[in-house]
Amino acid sequence: MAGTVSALGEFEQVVLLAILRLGDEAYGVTVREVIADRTQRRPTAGHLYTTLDRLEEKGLVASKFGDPTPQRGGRAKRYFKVTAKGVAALARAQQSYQRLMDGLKLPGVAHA
Amino acid sequence: MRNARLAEWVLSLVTTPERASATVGDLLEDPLHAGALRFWAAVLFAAFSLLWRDMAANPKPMAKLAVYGVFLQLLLSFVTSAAVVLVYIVGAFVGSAIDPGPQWKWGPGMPLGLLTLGAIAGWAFGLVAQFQVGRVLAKRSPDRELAPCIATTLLAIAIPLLIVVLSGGRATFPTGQLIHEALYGPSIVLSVLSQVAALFVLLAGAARVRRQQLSMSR
Repeated sequence: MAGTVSALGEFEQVVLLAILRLGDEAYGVTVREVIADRTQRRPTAGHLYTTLDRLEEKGLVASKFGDPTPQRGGRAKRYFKVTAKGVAALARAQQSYQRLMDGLKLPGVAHA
Repeated sequence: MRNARLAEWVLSLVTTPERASATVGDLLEDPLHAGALRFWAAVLFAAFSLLWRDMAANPKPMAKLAVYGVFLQLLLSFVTSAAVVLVYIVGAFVGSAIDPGPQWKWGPGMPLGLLTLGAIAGWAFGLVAQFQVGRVLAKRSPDRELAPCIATTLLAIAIPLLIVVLSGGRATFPTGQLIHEALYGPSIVLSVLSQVAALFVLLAGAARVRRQQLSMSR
C-alpha cells in the first residue's frame, strides 16, 4: 500500500481531483482551467499532458476521444475519467496526508 | 503563425497521431495559447516533455540503446575519418595530375581548395553518419523512436565528462596529450554544443523512421 501511495505525486493528485470535479467535461483545456482556478497555478501543456499520459499508463485514468468539433479545426477532444483504481489511490494518498496532519498545527495557519 | 498541421506533425513524432491531434485542438481552443509564440512554446515544450518521459520511464532499454548508439557513433567516426583521408588522397592525386608540384604533399600547406573539400566532406559524412545512427536507434525502439537519441546524446556528453572529472583533468595518453584536450578539443562548451547540434541530426533520422512507421500503420 505504501508503495502505491508514494507513487502518486502531488501534481498527479491535483490532476485526479480536477478530473473528478469536472465529471464528463474533463479534457485538456478544462482540466488546466480548473487547476488554475482552484490552485492559482498554471500548469504548462507539457507538464499536464505528460502527467495525464502517466496516469493513464498506471491505470488511474482512462481516456476516450469525442467527436471532432469545428472550433478546434475539426480536432476531437480527449476526455478523461478517473478509474476505480484512481479513486482508490487518491483516497489512500489523501488519507495519508490527513493522518500526517492530524493534531498538527502549522505555524501562522488558522485551523478549523 | 499558429500552423496547426505542423504542430500536429511535431507532436505525432512523440505520441500517437490521435493524441497529437487532440493536444493541438486543446492548444487552439485555449485562450492562453492564442499568440503564435505561446502556441509554439507550448507545442515544443509538450513535445520535449513527452520525449523526456519516454526516456525516463524506460531507463534500462534506453541505457542499452544509448550504449549501442555511442558505440555506433564511435565506429562511424572512424569510417568518416577514413573517408575524409580518402577524399584528400584522391583530391591530391587529381590535383597533382593537373598541376604537379610539392604543394600536394600531405600537411597544412596543402591548397586551400583541397583543405576545404576535405572539411566539407568530413562535415557531410558526419551528418549522414549521425542520421543513420538515428535511424538504427529508432528501429530498435518501436513507439518510442526518438527517445534513444536523447539518451545517446546524454551518454556521449557524460562519458568524456566522467573521464575528465575522474582523472582530475590532468590525465594524459601515453603520447603525452591531455585526455580532456583530445576529448573536448579546445573548449568543453563548444564540444557540448556540437553534441547538441548532432542531436538534431540524430532526431531527424529517428523522425524519418517514425513517419515511415506511422504511414505503414495507417
